[in-house]
Order: sequence, then C-alpha cells, then structure tokens
Amino acid sequence: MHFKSIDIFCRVIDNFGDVGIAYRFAKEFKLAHSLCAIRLFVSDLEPLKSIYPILNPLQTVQEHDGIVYVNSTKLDNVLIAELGTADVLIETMGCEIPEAFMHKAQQCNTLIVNLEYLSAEKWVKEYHMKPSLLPQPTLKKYFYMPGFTLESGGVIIDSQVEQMRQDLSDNRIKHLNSHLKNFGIALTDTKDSLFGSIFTYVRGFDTFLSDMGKIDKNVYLFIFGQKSMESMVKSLNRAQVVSLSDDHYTLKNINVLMMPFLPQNLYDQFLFITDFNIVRGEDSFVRAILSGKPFIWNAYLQDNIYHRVKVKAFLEEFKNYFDDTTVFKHYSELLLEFNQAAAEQPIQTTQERYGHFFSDLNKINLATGEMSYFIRSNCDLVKKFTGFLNQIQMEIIQ
Amino acid sequence: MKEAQELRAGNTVKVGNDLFLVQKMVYNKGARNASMVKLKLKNLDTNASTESVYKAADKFNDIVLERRPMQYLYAGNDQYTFMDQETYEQIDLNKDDLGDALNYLKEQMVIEVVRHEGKAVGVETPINVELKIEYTEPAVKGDTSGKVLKNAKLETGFEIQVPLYCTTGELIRIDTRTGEFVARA
Repeated sequence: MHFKSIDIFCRVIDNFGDVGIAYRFAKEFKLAHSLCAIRLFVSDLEPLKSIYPILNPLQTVQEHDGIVYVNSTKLDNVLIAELGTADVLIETMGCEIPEAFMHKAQQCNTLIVNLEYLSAEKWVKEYHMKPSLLPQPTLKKYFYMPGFTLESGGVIIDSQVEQMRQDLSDNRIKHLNSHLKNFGIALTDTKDSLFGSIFTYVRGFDTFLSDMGKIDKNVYLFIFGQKSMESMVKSLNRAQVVSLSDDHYTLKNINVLMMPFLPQNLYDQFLFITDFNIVRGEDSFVRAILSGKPFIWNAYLQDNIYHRVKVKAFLEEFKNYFDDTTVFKHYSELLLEFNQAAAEQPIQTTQERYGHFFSDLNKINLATGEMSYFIRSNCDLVKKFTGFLNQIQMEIIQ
Repeated sequence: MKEAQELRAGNTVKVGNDLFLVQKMVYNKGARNASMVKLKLKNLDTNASTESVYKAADKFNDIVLERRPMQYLYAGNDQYTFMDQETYEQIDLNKDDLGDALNYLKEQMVIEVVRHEGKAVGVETPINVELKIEYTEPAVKGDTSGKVLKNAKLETGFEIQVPLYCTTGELIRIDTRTGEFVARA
C-alpha cells in the first residue's frame, strides 16, 4: 500500500459503540499493515479505556501495540505542529475533524475518508466509495460504506476469528466455568444447559423471562452493561424474584448473572461460548453474526422508530441464509417486535414472544453460521478498504 | 450558505472555483439520526456531471443565478421545451439538465428556468408541488392512522409513498426536496 500513515478520528457520542468500532478498525488495520503508522484521535478516552484497559485516559498522547492514541480535545496548534498530519484522514461515522487539524492537512495532499455506520439498506451501495467534492484543491474526500454485501464496504473481521472459534469450541466448558466460578457455579458438562448473553439498551425483559422459564433446561444468562443490568433487575423485581446476591438472581430454571464490563477482546470471545446472544448497536451486532450463534439485535433507537427500517433491511439480507421460511418468518417477527419501542424504557412496551426463537435455535444457528461464513469469505472491511485506498492511489497517479 | 439536505434540483453551488448546478438530490437516513445526501452535480464550465455524497449538514456556498419563469410546453426526442410567457422565446433542455425536476413536471406548468451566462442550464422546482394521483391501491378498511404507507403513481409517472387514506384521482402536495408526501392539496 502506498499510503504510509493514517489518522483515524472518532467522536464519542454515547455508550461504547463508535469508539469500539474506531479502535477495532485501527487495531485490525495495523495488524494488516504493520509498516503503516496509525494514530487514533478520540474525543474521550475514558470509554476507550473500558474496552482497551491498557490506555491511560489522562495522557494526551500515548502509544500501545504500535498505535498512537491522542486525546483530540487537547489538539492545539502546538500539538498539531508537533504531530503533523497523516496521508489519510478517516472520519469515523461522520465525525468532524478538528478545524485546526484540517487547516494543517490542507497544506499537504491529503485523502479524507468518511467511514460510515453499517447498514444493510439497499441505498448503501450507491454511496459506497463515492467522492465528496471539497473547495480545497489539495484535499480529496470519499465516503466508505460498510455493509454485508459484495457491493458494499464489508465489516471489520478480527484476524484471530478462526483461531478464536476453534479454541473456544474445543474448550467451551473450561471457558464457561472460568466465568461461572465467580458465581459459585461449576459445571461438568453443558448438555442440559442453555447459555445466553445480553447486552442491550434499556428495555423490558418480562416476556423474555417468562418464555425462558418454560424451557426444559437450566438457563444461564450473562448480563453485560449498565443498561441491560438495570433493565433486567427491574423485570426480575416485577417477577418478584429475590436475589441470591447483588449479581446473581434465580427464577425457576434461570440463573441471571450480572457480569463485569469486559474488554473488547474478552467480550468478543464470550459471544462464541454461548448458545445465543442478545446484542445492541453496531459493533456487538457484527460480532454476534460472526460468532455464528443465534442472536437478537437491539438496534440503536432513532427518531420516529426509524431503527425498524434498519432492522427490516438487515432481515432482507439475513433471509437469504434461511432454508426454512417458517423459521425465518417467526424470527423476523420477533426481531421487528423487539425493535418496536420508540424510546428506552425499563418496562415492557413491546409484545415479543420468544418461544419460536428457542425451539428454532438450531435452524437459526445454521443460518447465522452461513452468513458468518459468507461475510468472513467476502466482506472483510480491512481488505476491501486497502483495495479502495490502492484504487484511489492509482487514480491520483493517473 | 445552505446545508446539503436543503439543496434541490436547479440550485447552484460554488465548490472551490467551480460552479455546479444540482441536477439530482437523494436524501438517506443513516444511523444514530445522522443522514447523508447524494447529489448529481453539473459543472457549469465543463458541462461534466458528477455524482458525489455528503453529510446532510455539510455546508454549501449557494449562488443565485439569473432565473425566469417559463411554461413547460412539451417533450420530444429527449428535449423538453419551455416558453417565456412574456417574450414567447422558446428554449430546450435535455433530461440531464432537468434532473429531479422531471418527477414533478407536467405540461403547462410554470417553472423557474435557471440561466448561466445567458444560456438556460436547468430548472428549479418549487419546494412544494401539487400533483394528481394517477393510481394507488384502494385503502384497507380500518387503518386510518396515516403511519402506514402505500405506493402511488403520480400524473407525471413518478412514484411516491402516500398514506393509506389517499385515493386515485386525489390532488396531493409533495416536498420536492425529499420526494415525500406532505398533505392532501
């Protein structure tokens, strides 16, 4: 690759989503191009520390594992002059690059790429790799659109995903027990048990708990993130459940286990050892698909319930991987109803039922596995992004 | 200054030293309530058209060129003929020059024709136009919430989404920036 340096910008809006994607992109791009200098400029390093604990949020500039991390709120003319600008600037998810930094970039021939949010909507391919004319002749800008198809920009695939899948599959009980032991649970086998993870926005879990209670297995639910935990506790309270401890509740056959916040790499692994995952936003949604396990997606809530359009578009894509149309019908009804809420509320405002999801788990597992395989084989964002940069470079030369 | 999402066919913007006529504008909602637009822009010096994309809130230096109200007369061989109602001067524009405006153009309609250095280069549609629904499926009894939409073909051939309560033959108002139904006229 011709480009020798890349500056990635990320503005933390809320939660961990945007910074999680920016960090994952930086990490994977560095692994693919070790000679390329990568810097990640983040507006708030505190959430990044949660998913990458080695980071010191009080330090303005620091380097770990070959990537330089910069607190972008501390960028002034002195620091910008010291750092200089890279060959390529990436605005992740449409964030604005600080004006002074852009001013400096104008003095060089810089390529700017807006790495957008992921969407399965059909229009995405019409925007992918399209230019954005800028008034400054020294700057070139393009939009890069991630997606699940050959015509879009792909999704970030962890270079270790195959190895991780194999290791976690071979040693599943060991990995599960390493988490269960914190709750005084030790299992010798998994045949009469069902394991699920939950990482959602604020919502009700009343029908979920009720339907899980009808399953003829011991259920272990691992709950991640403040929003999921608070929501789950409220649903448990409504079911008049008494906790065994602050982080362990039981209801009939269900063990609800409140998990500590895991760094990104450990959370990724976790999704491989469960039987199903309930995930939110964009990054954990992609990890859930890649894990090949059945999942339910809690899309980021948008005005006028527009997130349902995103969910519908994903289902249109996901449909291609189902052999059984009835299973898909039940699955899509669940996903659409699950995402019917207009706002985050810790009460049950939606009417979804999970009976079919649990009875169809094996078939949904097959479909997710198929999609995971397709994406891993054809939609590697880092590879596609590298191809895109090479193409732009050729155009510049011509 | 105008935001990208406020532009519509017939607007003129300056990017660097170049003047561009907006021929088409497509608006799409991204994630986290962020949106993007795709513009088809014609460079008024080179006549070359290019497609480019922007964040909805990206700012443009909009330029108001000379414009004159003219009546759309007829189309033939991909040429669209307009007439100045005072001087009776007639001018032709092609399909690309009209861009999105074609979706809303009907014979006898008076529309602003944009000129650059004395030459007609495009047309600017009003923000709202009123058009008749040529065909739409009959409404399903009971659903009158207005939130559920169905396809409707307009008298210009353009298809949009309308609420279930709209019927064939009805006159409706459309926002030409988004191509969306606004209200019954």
